[in-house]
Amino acid sequence: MKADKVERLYRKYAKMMLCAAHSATNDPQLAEDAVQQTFEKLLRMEDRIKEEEEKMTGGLLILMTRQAVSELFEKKTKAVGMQTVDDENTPEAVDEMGDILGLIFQKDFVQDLTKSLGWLKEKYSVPIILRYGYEMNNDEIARLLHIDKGKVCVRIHRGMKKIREYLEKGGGL
Amino acid sequence: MEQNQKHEQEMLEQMLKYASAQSLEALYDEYADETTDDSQPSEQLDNAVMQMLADAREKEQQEERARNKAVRYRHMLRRLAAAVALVVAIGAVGGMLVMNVEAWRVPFLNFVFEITGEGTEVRLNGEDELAKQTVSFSVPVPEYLPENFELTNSMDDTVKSYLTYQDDAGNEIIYIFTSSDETMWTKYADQEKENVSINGMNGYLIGGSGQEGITLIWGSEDEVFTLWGEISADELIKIAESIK
Repeated sequence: MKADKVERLYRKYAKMMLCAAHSATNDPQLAEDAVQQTFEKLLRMEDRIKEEEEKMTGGLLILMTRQAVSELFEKKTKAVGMQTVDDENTPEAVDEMGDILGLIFQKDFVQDLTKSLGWLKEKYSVPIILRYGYEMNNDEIARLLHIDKGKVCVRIHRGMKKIREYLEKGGGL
Repeated sequence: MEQNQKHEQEMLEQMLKYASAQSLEALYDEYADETTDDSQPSEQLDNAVMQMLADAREKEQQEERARNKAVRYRHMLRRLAAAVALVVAIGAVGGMLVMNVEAWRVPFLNFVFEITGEGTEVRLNGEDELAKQTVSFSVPVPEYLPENFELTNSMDDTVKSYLTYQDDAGNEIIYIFTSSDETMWTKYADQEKENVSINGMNGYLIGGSGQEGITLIWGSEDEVFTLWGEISADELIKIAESIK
């Protein structure tokens, strides 16, 4: 059963996820909410999780937890009247790979690409990793992250742009 | 050029896949040893997650039950359709057999049709199987028969009905009822005959009495009656007049 698998993942990774959430926020309640929200999302994609790939699974859950912290924080700031700019509805040309296609033959490209994903904000890295690491399509990512399909495209596109900037500048901005 | 770009894109996809896996593993390694007592989930979190999982299990079980019900329903419909098809096939084959085999058709029609007085239910005597059957058909039959004559046989096809009567001495009377057939009248055109009138219908009396037998034929546009018997003309006419 789906729920049995998710329970096993909870027992194995909840502590690690909570640790990652605490490192992203001082609010312990927000940290726990982020972990809970991540497992709610996990119920929707448990079939994609390969339990035997412990490190990859653990890393994804940590990443999703950190993104959940950002989302919950953003919701909270909106709720108390702090304005945030939502420019992801701005239509723009989307050419996901065009930005970094020209760099693939650079020296140490793969290592730098790996580092760039670690450096990128979770908002951008999670959709990219779900797309390329877990081979999900935009619909699935949108359902999983509870965002519009359009926002998925924008985040992947902007994430790729930032990766290019990172690679061109030799890491970090 | 396009082919090259396609290859490069495929390469980049593979690289991104690899990089994604590496990035996640690095993240795991970063936190694997950092867990402390503070990172133990609270009872509140445990309860919230367990409740969420319990709800998910309940939903899954409901969906499973609904799926099983749908499967059972489909199986039941298939079995019902097969049973109906079998019944229809048996009915069709059985119906054809019954209507084509006279020994079965007559009792079946007896069962189905009401006797309203136009015909008579006849019980046949004799050891012949056919004679023992009860036959009903809507054909006018004689109400008068000479002494010792009994019905011994009957037959009908789609056009004519035949009844045969016999006495103890083996003398026969044959009665044929049919819808109008021109040949019935022209058949005796060259024979010596006497005009008769039976119950207001014109007819002929053909032949002498005795061993050769006498034929009495009469009727209208719609029906023809024929009597043949090894009896006197008067008796034959009396039998004919009793057919109404």
